[in-house]
Amino acid sequence: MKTFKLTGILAAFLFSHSLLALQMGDSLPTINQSLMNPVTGKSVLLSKSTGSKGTLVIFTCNHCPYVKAWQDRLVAIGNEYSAKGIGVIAINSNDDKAYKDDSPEVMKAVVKRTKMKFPYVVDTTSDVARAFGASKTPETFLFDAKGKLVFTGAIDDNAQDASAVKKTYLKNALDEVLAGKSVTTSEAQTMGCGIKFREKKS
Amino acid sequence: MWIRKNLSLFIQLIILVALSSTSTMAAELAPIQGPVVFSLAKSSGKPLTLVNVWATWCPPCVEEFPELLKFHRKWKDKEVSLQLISVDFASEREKVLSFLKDQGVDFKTFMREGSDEDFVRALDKKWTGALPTTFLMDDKGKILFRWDGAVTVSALEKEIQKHLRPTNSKGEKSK
Repeated sequence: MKTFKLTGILAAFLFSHSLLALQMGDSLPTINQSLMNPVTGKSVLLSKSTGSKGTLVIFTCNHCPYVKAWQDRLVAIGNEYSAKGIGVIAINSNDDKAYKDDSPEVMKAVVKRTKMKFPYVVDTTSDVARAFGASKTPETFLFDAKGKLVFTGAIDDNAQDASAVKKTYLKNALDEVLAGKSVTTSEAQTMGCGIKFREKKS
Repeated sequence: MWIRKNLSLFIQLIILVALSSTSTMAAELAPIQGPVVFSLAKSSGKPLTLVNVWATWCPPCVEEFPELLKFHRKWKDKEVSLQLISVDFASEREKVLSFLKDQGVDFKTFMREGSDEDFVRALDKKWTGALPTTFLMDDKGKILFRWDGAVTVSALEKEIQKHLRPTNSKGEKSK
């Protein structure tokens, strides 16, 4: 009984804190929660969004200036690599009560404007972000063909100026995954907007 | 004639210097790179330093700003200094200055220089780069605590009190 209680407390702690981010080599989290796609009006499961050659999960939103700065590059990468066998999914875990711009309606408009060809879905509880340990937008998690985490972090080394980019972290990692190679740079840190987590329902 | 002309120039120069030093008493925004942040704590002359990393585009940062200033007014003559570092894009400098002025900031603050990656790595490898973030440092620049997300005066003080307890003869904090 005591063990059960302790495990429960520990699980609650792990789940309620986003501090424990996935580590390199960790598996794609198993999440049963369905993710709502505002464009199709249908729900999708993360487990059904994987690709045969790898999976890219992007925590993003509409309001964040860092997301806006990277948006065109991120969509171009997502579109390109989803056509090459990488499962790509963008997830908005923000509470849209805090940020009106992060509403499903605005998400639909973003998909249309950017010509995004991969699903951009709502994490209606923010629990998907919690399971990944995602803390900000944009934040990317790349899993290889075996579903193991091989890269996390920034898209490249210059959010503000696409023409001044010197290191294309995410693209390099994707190319290495497609080639079946080890990822040279597995973490790339950057600034971002802290995710506004929805409060957990008791 | 020559003396009178140069004396006039000298007086103008003095006035200019006086005016410019008065203006820097308002919102000042100096460039800073990641590794130098720790020297702010080392040179503050206070046992503890709060380093808040913020941006004008970050709603929770803007929301917590009055709390930080409230904290600053309460503690500036005591044991804790406050250092504010904006990570706005360099092109937003005027917007940052305007925000600081509107908030009534009358002390020197900083604006991050260099890449995000270098800045985040230099400060704390465990920090994800999410904003806002506030670090509590000792007078050697060692990070004692980090708040991820907006802070309140009471939350800051609760943690700070733990580090301000008097020490015994062995240098240990009293219980």
